[in-house]
Amino acid sequence: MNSNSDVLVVGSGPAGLFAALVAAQRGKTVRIVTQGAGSLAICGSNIDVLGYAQGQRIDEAPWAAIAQLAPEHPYSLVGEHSIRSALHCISALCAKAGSPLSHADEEKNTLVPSIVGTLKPSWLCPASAQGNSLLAARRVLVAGIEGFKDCHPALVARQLKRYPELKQASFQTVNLIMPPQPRKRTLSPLDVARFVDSPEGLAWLCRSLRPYASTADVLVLPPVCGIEHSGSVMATLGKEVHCPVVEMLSIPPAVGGLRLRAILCRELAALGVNIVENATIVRAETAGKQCLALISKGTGGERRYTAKHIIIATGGILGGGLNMSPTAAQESIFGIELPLPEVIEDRSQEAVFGDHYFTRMGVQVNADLCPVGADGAVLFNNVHFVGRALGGYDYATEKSGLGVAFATGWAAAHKV
Amino acid sequence: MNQATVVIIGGGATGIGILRDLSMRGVHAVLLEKGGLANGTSSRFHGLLHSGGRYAVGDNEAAKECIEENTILRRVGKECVEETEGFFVATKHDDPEYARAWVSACERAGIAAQPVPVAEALRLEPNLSPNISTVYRVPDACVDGFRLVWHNAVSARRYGGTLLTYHEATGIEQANGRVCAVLARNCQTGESLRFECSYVINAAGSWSGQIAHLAGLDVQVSPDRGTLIAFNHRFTSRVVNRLHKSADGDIFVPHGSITILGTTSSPAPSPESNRPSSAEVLRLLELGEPLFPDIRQYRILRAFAGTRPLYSAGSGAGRSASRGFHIVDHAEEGLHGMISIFGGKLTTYRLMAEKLSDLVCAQLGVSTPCRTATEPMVRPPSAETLAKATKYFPMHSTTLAAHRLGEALETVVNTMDAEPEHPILCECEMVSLAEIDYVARDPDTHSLHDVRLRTRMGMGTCQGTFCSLRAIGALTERNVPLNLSPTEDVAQFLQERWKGVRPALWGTQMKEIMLGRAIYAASLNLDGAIHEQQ
Repeated sequence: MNSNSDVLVVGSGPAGLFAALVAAQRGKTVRIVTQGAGSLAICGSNIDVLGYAQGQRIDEAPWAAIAQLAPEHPYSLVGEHSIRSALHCISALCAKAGSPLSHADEEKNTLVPSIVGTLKPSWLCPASAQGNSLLAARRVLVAGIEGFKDCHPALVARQLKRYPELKQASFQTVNLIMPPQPRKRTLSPLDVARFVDSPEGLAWLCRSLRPYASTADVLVLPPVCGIEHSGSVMATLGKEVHCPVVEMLSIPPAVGGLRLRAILCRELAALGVNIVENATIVRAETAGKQCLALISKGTGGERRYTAKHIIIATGGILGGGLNMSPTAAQESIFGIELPLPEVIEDRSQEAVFGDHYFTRMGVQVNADLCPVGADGAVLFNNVHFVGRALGGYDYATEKSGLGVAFATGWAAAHKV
Repeated sequence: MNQATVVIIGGGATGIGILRDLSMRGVHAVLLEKGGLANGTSSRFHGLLHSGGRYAVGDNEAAKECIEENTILRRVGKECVEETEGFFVATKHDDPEYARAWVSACERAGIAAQPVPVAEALRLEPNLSPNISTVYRVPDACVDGFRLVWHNAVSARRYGGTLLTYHEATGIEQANGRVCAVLARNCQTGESLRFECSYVINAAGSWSGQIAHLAGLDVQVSPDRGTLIAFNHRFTSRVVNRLHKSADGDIFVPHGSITILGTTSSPAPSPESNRPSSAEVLRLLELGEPLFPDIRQYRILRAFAGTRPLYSAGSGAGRSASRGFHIVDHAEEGLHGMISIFGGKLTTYRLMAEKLSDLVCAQLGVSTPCRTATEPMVRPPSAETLAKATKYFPMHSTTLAAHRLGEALETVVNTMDAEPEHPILCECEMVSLAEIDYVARDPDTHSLHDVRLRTRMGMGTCQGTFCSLRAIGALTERNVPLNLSPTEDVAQFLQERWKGVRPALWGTQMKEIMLGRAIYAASLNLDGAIHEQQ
């Protein structure tokens, strides 16, 4: 069975979905083939662009630091214009969906709190993650939900106090009690966020928070302010509670990432983009520097996909886009070999958060995001790599995951 | 001023075994351990409770000791032992002559070795290679070394024994040819202490050469490094040994939900040399492949290494050096009251403690006989507590928790009874918040790492990715004091896990590392916070 489109996108993480969306907006016929749900199921909804460079926290806007990055960094390859355009595009999309993204201060990264009481520098934040209202507060209320295993207000308060930025603040903590729900597992932020999407849940949240509005300057919560309707939930909280609410960054299951995913998927559906799920690309048909087709294996057996342009957004090691054995590292669809130090110990450092080789390992590409070999020659003219399958950056320590995903997704969509 | 009749140095199985034995005989003893309990070799081995089969051909006396002690431990320490039985398996490439010699050596040592038809063995252990040729069944078992040490410690305390972890011996004082005191440093506070005593027992295992040196004695203990791999699942239900002349990488031991493959053997520069290398991991996989052909596809949880204390009184090294034990009364060298115990293996720790305690008691004129071979180590929880526990745990986890905690299960279950929620924090190993709370409050618990060793929290599939964060949050919420800040504690925990995966940085275990980085670095910025929090 054969399916044809202008653009074939492999992978449905942030880079894949966004690349597909931008290509479709540009009038292309687009199909997405994906194995799983992608990394939006484990990440947040605030868009980190660049939080650290050379181990130093970037407090100002990220642009100056971006200009200093190594030439092989994906940001250097796509350029500041693509990054800004991509952010503009995703902002417009989120605004249209009723969940606008913004900066509190155009000149600065925003520090957003997490459920372990750490602060993370981020750039574009939804209304629910404007960390500045926390830093400006003298009286902070940290609220958990009774029954959460992963969020403990006492821990958050104790940890936040250790930041010089919050030394002067006073903290109070509370665990909100959710009305009993039929459930068979431990309560997670996802359960509460779904409840808050309902009118009854939203009323409960407003009712629970209102008493604290008079004694606190900011209310810090786990990410529970809805998924499908997070924009209107935040608007209602603003009207009803009269105190800024800041959601903490959390661990999977990811409420924030799923909000973004919902917005992207709704827009893709509106643009007529078809997503084929549960399908793994097992091989490529190539001729010279062209990829003619990709073959997938899924519930219906093998299928052949042809397209003029192919965007690979299969992720890194975690997503399955890259594989590593003791002796070799490879990109998983085309088998592109990645250079690797021979001695295994040379691929990493002794400190867990050290400057590891393996964290920056990925496909090398040219300015069109087409893969190149060790000699710099293009391997395939009509294949573009986006997101974590790319080498040259460590999104985890530099805090650039969604920024690179969207910037490279946008850039690739403009090469097709 | 601290006083004791006996100061024992070393908190591994041997030292704690001696502390318990002496305490049970009414001898006042204090044990000093420079790290956490069992932080040396007793928690860094394969966890095989030998039937003796492995030693039958090479050292029949050691094999006899093993089968006797194996039988005793199953009885008195059943909470630490899983009676899996073991297979000795020869492949078509192994020498059939050795198998014949082995069978008669087992008979001489009193080890029941019964032939198992290959088809039956493959039915019981379907992951074994179809290319095996001969299989025997022996009474091998699995032992949790850390739990064994811990239960000995609880029992020793009950008999009045004193246990001081994170206390390093720094000097041994002598007067007129007799030891008179041990100097020590509290590693947590830096405080110096002096313990007056009549006897010093050097039970420091791989470190015993260094301790002897404190008393001006020169003994030959060479640390020998053994590296092992823990796999993510239980691919064998039994201990599997290769039926050939004992060598590297020929023992597979299931523990709970995981399987351990060991061991390598190479001279170590120091007893602390416990960082596994990728070359060792790859070699173990290669050596393990003839018995379990799919082994390279299995996910590795971690590699780890320990050092064996091989006592070489002149000759022999490595695997050929004696695994038997040696008690040396340094009175022969002119220092009375100083006794060292060298060599040995975990299976025979109780016998070693008994023989050493016999010697001390004889000199002290204490005639109370040893009771460790007959008196159960653990006081089990009451039937009522067990019944109550099943309200909160599935049946299997109730048994696991009862084995870990003994009668302390009652405290844990009462905590659960008193609270509306009873969360399981470590879902891989089924460890409840109540148990983590109980263990964290113990005076000998200082960090999440200590909690991990005692409860097995973070030892399973997720390797602490989810539960370490939960535990630190819950403990902070409940005001349980720990030494480190939450950020440092979680970072230390992750660092320890990283050390174990780094030499196996490929395949599916690498995905788990990447997930950990996505959560702890990308989402939570723990790496940045370490430098920014004050």
